[in-house]
Amino acid sequence: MNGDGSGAPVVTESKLKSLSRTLRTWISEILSYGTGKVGLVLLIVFVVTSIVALVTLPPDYRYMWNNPKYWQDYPQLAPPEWIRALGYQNAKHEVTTYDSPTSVKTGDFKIFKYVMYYDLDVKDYPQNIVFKLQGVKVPIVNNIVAPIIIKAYVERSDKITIRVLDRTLHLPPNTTVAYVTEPLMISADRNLIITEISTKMLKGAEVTLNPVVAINYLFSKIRVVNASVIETEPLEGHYKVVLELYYPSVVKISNPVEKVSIVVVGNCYGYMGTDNRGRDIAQALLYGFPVALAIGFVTAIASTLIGLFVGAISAYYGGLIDELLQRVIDVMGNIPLLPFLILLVNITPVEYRLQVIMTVLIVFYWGGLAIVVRSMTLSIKEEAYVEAARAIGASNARILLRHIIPQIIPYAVASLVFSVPGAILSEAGLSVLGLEHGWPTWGKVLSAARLSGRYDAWWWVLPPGILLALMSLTFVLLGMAIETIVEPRLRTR
Amino acid sequence: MGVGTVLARRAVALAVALVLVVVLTAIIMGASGYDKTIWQALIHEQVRAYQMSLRQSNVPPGRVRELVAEYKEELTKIYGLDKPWYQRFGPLVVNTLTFNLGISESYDVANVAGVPYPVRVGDAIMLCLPRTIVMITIAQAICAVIALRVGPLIAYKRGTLFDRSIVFYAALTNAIPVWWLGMLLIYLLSYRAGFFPTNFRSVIAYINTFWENPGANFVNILYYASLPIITIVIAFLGSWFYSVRAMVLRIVREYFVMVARAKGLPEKYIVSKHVLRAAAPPVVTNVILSLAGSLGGYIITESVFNWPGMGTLYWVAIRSADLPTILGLTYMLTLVYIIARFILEVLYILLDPRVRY
Repeated sequence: MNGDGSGAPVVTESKLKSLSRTLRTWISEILSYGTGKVGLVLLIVFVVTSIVALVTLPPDYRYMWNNPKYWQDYPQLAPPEWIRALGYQNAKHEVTTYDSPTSVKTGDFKIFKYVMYYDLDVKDYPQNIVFKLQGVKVPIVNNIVAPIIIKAYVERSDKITIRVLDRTLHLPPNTTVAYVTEPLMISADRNLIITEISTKMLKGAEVTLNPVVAINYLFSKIRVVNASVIETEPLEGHYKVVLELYYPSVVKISNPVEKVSIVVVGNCYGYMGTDNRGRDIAQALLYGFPVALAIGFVTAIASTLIGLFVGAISAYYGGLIDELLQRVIDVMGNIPLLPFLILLVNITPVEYRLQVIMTVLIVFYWGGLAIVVRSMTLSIKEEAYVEAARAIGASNARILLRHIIPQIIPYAVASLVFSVPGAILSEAGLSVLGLEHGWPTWGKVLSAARLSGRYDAWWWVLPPGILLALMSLTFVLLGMAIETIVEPRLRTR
Repeated sequence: MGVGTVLARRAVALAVALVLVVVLTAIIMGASGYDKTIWQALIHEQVRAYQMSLRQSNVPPGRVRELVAEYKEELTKIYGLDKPWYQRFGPLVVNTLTFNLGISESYDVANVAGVPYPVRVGDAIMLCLPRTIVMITIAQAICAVIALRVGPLIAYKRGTLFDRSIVFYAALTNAIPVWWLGMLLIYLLSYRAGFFPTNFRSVIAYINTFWENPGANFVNILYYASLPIITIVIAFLGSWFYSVRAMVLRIVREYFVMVARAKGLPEKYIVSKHVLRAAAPPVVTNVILSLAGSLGGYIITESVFNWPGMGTLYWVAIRSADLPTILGLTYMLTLVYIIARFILEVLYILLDPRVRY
């Protein structure tokens, strides 16, 4: 038939038509069940979200996720921003970005000044102040790289000015290039804040301040109770954060930094909050969509195909092949899967672990389907039309592919849909157990919450679990709808 | 084919699976070099400690180097790392298969068992097994009892709101990972409400010394085990309901049930004498396999509850590459599972007259 040039397109077209008709009947049948409707809608949502994730997140996101450098200007263990609307007292997170300095002053130095306003409207302390410089220009005086002085201060709502940064920066000659991709991040100097607070606000009281909570002092009213005890209380109002860059005045630079961000790191972040390393949970969960779907579908499709063909071949040919395949399935069925999987994953180098999980699951999942397919094939192969096909000289392969396997495909599809969540949940389980595989998945997010022991961070524990449950519920519902279609005995109407 | 032949063939397949699992486990550990890396790190640590102690007692540097090299060689020989892995593991596999489980080489394993190092693998298993039974086997037994009482009722009320909500519950709990439910319940009921303990490890003392004061210890064990049991029952009851319902549904439509009904037999009599009798083989399969499977512990769930059972023992043994414990546990658990499978084969023949070839 392949050589028949004029016939081939017609055949393909009619095949396509019949395929699309079958698909359409299937979908309308699925939609006629309530469970099927919900399942199909959820599946579409999952697929669309995966595409959005693949388009919006950078391709090397998994390395960013594991690199603490990218998360320095995020609040740590912060709930989502919208809880402020519910009346929770969480200081807001604010980022102001500048392309050019607010003002320039020339004297002994050329001083570039960036001013940011922050409004503390709740009884809470921000976590930090971070200055993020991207593309810093290097002053070169007489062919020598001159140092830059970076100073910053906060003007509080009670008009007390506290210096938070005073540092000389020695840049390598090619800094402009190097910092374009990797911004220079500078946090407020906690020891400097402590010194400033004790001289300007405590005025000689002999109190030892703890640098760990220096940022709290910066944003609080401090009351000295007695010689060694102080009480702090958040000071609401308008704050002014000023960053100054001191360049030698001989240097001809009008805009020293391509992009400057002043970040007042609040106590809440984004739509879904952050984890204990400041990582944005919403991003990880978004990235988890395509990873989960890929793990689930690859494993389910591969094991279903193997099960379908092995089962059909085993029953069709019978004899020694059948006996051998059945024994293999028997033995595999008695191997405890989870312990075996954990053992294998544990001895695998981290970068191959996800692939090993998928391979092991494929190897273990096909047996169940193969047994069902085998028993179905045994009865189909006795049908008159199979005998007729054999009588007119059809080859074994043709009988299998054209007459037997198409009969079984609906069951195989149901089994495929049911087996999708298995791999996703296995991956999540292994992650929760503490087996690293380097990919930000829903299980990985949960595992980080578990290992840090913070079950109380609901924005960290609930969403990944709910997503996992929704994902498997989707396929359970779809599978139930498909099962009722292919097995009319299960119908309730 | 006679009954004997069928049973003999099954027995051979099960025995092959058993031996294969143990041998495969040993090969995976050995061929990957995983255990070697861990042991070498251990030797390195001991050699460094030895070197430090020599330096502190003012041994001349040249002599120190000599002594350290000797010590390292000695240790390598003790741990058997000078031989290739198959020579090291061969005897171990044979010993395991002949129930000579040996002594665990890991501190963590002794720690999970709750006894001082070193511990015999057999003792560690015997210490951890009751804890898993207390948590998981009991939970599964509770599920089985409830499902067998309620399952047939659901099947009879097919299509009603009751039936639909049970099916929905089954689908929902099938989708929710049991370990995540555990995390939620630990937070809600232990940390927030304070009904249950937050540190489940402490159950070791009460189980290990149970017979010294059975009454008080029972109450304490109940205090520690109830949250894990509640979690597992919530998570698994749905699928139990669903499978019992499906089995009963299949039988209710058989002709012999219709005949019984046509004869005018009372419905109660039909359920107990016709339906349940015919549903017995698959139901018994479900019960026996899940009880046998539960002995291995649920590794992830036990780890979430920090429960010192069989699952945790296996996990710790893998992490510390403690081959005697890994092989021993794998062997014992697969053995239990396979014996259960074989008992089922025999029960099938007893319960279902159609299987009498």
